[in-house]
Amino acid sequence: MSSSSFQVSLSAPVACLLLWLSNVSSADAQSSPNEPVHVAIEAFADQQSVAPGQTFRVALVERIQPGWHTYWINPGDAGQATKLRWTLPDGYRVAEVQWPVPQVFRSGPLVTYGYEGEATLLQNVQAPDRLGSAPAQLSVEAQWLACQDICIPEHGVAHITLRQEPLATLPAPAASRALFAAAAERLPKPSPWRASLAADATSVVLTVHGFEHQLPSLAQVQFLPLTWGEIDNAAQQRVVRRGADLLLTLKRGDLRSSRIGTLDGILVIGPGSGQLQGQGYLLHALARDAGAPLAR
Amino acid sequence: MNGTKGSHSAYTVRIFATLLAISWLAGAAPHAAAVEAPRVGSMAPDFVGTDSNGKSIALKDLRGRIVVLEWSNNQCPFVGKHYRSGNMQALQKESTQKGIVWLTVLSSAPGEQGNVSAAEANELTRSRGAAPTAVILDPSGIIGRSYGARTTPHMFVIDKTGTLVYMGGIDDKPTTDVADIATAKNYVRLALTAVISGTPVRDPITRPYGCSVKYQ
Repeated sequence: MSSSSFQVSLSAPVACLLLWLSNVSSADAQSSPNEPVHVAIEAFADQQSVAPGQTFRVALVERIQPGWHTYWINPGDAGQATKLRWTLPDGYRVAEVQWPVPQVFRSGPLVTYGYEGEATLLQNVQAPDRLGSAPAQLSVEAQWLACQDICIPEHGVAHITLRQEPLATLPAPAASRALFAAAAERLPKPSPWRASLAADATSVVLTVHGFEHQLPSLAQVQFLPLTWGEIDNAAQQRVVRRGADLLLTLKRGDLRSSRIGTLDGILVIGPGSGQLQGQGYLLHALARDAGAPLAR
Repeated sequence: MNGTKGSHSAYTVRIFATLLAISWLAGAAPHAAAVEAPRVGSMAPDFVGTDSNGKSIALKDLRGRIVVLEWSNNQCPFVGKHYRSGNMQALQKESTQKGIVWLTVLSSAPGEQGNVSAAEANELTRSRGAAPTAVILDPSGIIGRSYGARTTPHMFVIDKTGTLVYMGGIDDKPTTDVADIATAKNYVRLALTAVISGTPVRDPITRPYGCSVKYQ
């Protein structure tokens, strides 16, 4: 008898804890034995309940140990982007990851792109038109490479539980709303400028048309490519103004012998640059006439 | 890259001068010695290296043989994937049995991950059942930088004329998961098959994936 009452008294707080975790959100990051965990993950939704057909946002937060980093969708010269695999209730659909503007890490002659401190990866999720009555359980399995000087592959699982409501939805608690607002601030913005490119075997000249902002220093402007191979990540980027245009001369990367039709990436405007300070803009540059000479 | 070290031989002086010129062309500060990827279809950068048995190996002396260069760091999890699974050793054996010269190059600087002594390099070859023709110790990173080697692994294939015919990843699954090897497209094996049969390499330039090469 005494043993069973012991079990009851133990399981009640555990059950409460589990209930609390499933109501809010929970995460259990794991890695292989012998490998310390350098990143803790947690998942959130921007509302506590969901209505039929509704689109809402989910966030995977990486809390990264000081001195370590994880990677952007284009990791650069080495590394590996974080991968997220969601397991969702029937009919739910998750959109692509919206990656925050990364930092640039230099290590010897190499350059990589990623995140230190904290990174929040946002995704839109659409609920189906018909919902069940039980709470919806959304699980995400994350795999990331944590690097300092050395790299450790790690993975973890995080969960979100949402009430399914026929009509009204409950917003997330204030702390979660602040997290989503802060994460949205760190996303690259759609470019207000048109961009074009001209390339030869050594350089790509990326032109940002109608860039009328006055910047204290063009040295603060940098282009981060979304994909591998088009430009040399480590090479210095020469940035000049020509009339209302901004011209970036980028050294070509491994794919230097191939024609470049388009170049996608983020134009990052560094600190101390007035109203554009610290912002990233998604550029989609199209090749101008292939025969046109390079403007230098 | 260090000018004082480089002055000991004409060879390294030339490399250093080239790197300076490249840095200048790229508009980079001279201290930030760049890595310069060689060009597929052009002559592979020449080098003279010292292997883990103290033997000097010059690329020039290997004309008439197909040569594979494999950048490695035994503690990198991406390298671990291909050695734990036996994938790299199998490709080494398969290649050397066909007369291909397989050179594993270690460019980790002293004090950095993957920097090993000659004896440790030989022990790694033995304990892992590896079968390279030789392991070249490149702690100064001179050979690594001249090839633009960025990751471990980073793979290069040079044909019998000394022309670079492949550079990039070992395969198309950039993960640390051993299970991915079974379904991966092994670009190096495909390149070697093409070179042996005298046909063009279908994917001559791919994305290398792995840990960064631990240059000084």
